[in-house]
Amino acid sequence: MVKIEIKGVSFNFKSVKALENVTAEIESGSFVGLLGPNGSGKTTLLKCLSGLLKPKIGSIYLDGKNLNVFSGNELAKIFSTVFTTAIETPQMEVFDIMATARHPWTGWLGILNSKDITVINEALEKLEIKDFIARQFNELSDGQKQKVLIARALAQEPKVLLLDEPAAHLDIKHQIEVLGVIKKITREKDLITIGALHDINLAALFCDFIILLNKGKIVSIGPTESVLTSENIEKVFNIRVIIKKHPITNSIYIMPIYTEEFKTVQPKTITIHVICGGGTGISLMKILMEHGYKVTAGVLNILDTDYEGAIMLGIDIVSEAPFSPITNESYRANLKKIENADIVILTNIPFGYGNIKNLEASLIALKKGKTVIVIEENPIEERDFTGGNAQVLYRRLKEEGAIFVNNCKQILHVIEKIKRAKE
Amino acid sequence: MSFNLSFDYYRKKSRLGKLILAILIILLIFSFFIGLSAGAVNIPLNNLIGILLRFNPEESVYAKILVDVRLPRVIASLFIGAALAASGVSLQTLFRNQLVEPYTLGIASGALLGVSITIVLGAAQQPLGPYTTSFMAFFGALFTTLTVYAISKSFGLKPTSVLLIGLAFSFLLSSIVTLLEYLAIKDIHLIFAWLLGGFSSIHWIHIKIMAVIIPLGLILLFIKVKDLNAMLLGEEYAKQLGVDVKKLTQYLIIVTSILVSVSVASAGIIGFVGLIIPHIARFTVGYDNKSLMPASTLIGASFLLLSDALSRIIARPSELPIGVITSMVGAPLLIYLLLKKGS
Repeated sequence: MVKIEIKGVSFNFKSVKALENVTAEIESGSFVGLLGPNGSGKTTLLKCLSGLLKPKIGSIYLDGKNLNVFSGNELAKIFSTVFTTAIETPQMEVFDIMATARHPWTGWLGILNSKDITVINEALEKLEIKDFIARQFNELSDGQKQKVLIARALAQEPKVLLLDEPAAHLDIKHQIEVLGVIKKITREKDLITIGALHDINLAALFCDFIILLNKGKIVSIGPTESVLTSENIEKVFNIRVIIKKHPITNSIYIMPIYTEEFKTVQPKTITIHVICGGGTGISLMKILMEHGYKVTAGVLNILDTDYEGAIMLGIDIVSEAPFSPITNESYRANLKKIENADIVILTNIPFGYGNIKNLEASLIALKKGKTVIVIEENPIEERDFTGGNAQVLYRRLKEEGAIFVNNCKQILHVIEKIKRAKE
Repeated sequence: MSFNLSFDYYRKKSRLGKLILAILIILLIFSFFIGLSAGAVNIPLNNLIGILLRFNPEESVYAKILVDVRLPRVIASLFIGAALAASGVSLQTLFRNQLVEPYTLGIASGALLGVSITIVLGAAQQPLGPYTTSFMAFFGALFTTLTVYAISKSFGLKPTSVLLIGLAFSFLLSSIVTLLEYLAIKDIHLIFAWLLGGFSSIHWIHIKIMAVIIPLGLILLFIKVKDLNAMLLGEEYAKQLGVDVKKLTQYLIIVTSILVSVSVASAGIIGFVGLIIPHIARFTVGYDNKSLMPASTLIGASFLLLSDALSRIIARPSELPIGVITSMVGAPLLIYLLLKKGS
């Protein structure tokens, strides 16, 4: 059992503030993830913990004892680190790398005894890399090297394991394997493991606690689920995310929304309302956004493919409960959105009694003088599951002057034309 | 059972290491006697032991040659080879750079400057010349490293800055030496001869000084093998293993510069040994400094003993400069080993 208390730690690199008043308490048996953008102070905090850097203000306590009172050798028996920098070793064997871990425990010449060998062996076994022992370190793959370095850190028999980007350079299989092993060992040996991680999802999957840093300050600290909220992540990383709970693993996962490409295009003043569903609208909405149009959509059932897509794109939508017919309430909300739009697009949706109100809404849009573009990839007869009602409404759309196109590609062309005509 | 894999491996490795060290000790003894025996006058091996035991130069011509001429230079090559090779290993490991050699920090050019001044001023040609030369070489060498060290210290003794400052200093001093050579063109052969290194001007006084300083320096290096091993993974890892890298850097710079200054003062600049022998030693025992350090020391001593013997045999009755031999033998040997390793 160990306990680390970080009390008001600050650290500066010359004029740059790397850590500011960081306070945290960590108990053994927990895998703590340090998250934050590049330059948020993760590595600096790890180095302060391992004794490589001395905090300028504040102190770190291990079981109530200030780290400053420990000698280098004593610290090496408590903390061991896997750094993110690649080791450029000239032709060393894996065993030689492992042997360095015993430095704090051996005598003045560093001669290994049978206990040292047992510990090395055990660490290699834990990572399932015992057959690497006689191999050249620099001939291993990045994933294998990382495993060796983690085994090396374990062979140091630490109470606290510090990892700087342990999953960097690894493919997904090795990421999962390596972090899985770390988590298991943390439990088995009752260690404190603190890992700076880049991948929020990996942190969500493996870490018990999260310290979320930004510009050297703690933004949020606590159990993983309470820290990894969309507000926190959006604030710190300046991106849009959706956070979901995985139905099987029960761990949360984060889906970033890629909005960067929309920022670069010149925004246009035209608003387009897309009436879609069942995946007929998603690619269209993305294309429209990429061209700088403001897009709204509705009515979409929650869990519908177009709903999920629209959420991901950050589109303002009118939604309806999953698998339910459109209620009058959402119908009216939809009309309001149509009111605010310049152009309404109706995609190639199949119509049933549940969503026929979307077709009615298109007709109203037309009556209100909006330009309505209808995408007709399949004839309406094939898509009418209302016993003919949809076909009647569809015919009226045609009569009252809606523009019909055969596919999504023509749309941009048509919109450009309308825009020019208006100007 | 699979559990024993690491034990088996370690046992095999350390047994092999001990075997190699035993072979290298035998090689050293062999080289030592070759060194005593070979030269302008060959002394038969069976006469050697007896003369050495009685140690009376007046006994015979062989005894006189052996005690007064051969023995000092053989002991000197043994000490100097060991000192250069052990310093090379320490500095290469410390700076994690296999192109570093004991002269990198400016020692050679410092010593050369000291000697050049002595020669140009005519002090070397006086009766006490050899002593003055040695003293000035030692002084120049030590003064240079200490200056490099003092400047680097203000940069926090970062390996790259130490090396760069050493390099810059070497160039600076070399250019001064060139200027002196230009000004004193008639003495240039003396400077040049010293530059190539050699044991012909070795005296017992050199041996006495070396016999104290070099074994002591070697011991001081040997007791740091554990810290040097921690340095193998780089500075960050060494620090987190509890090594005070700054102190280690100070320590090793001071110890190696004393070792090398004494060597240079006695026998001039013998190139190649401090750079190449560590590489050759790595081919035999690997990177663990616990075996690399003794292996390198033994190979360095043997290599210089044999090179010196060769320099005396090849152009009998005259002799070739030792620096020519070490490079001519060492360079192809290294290339051969590299090729063998590569294939």
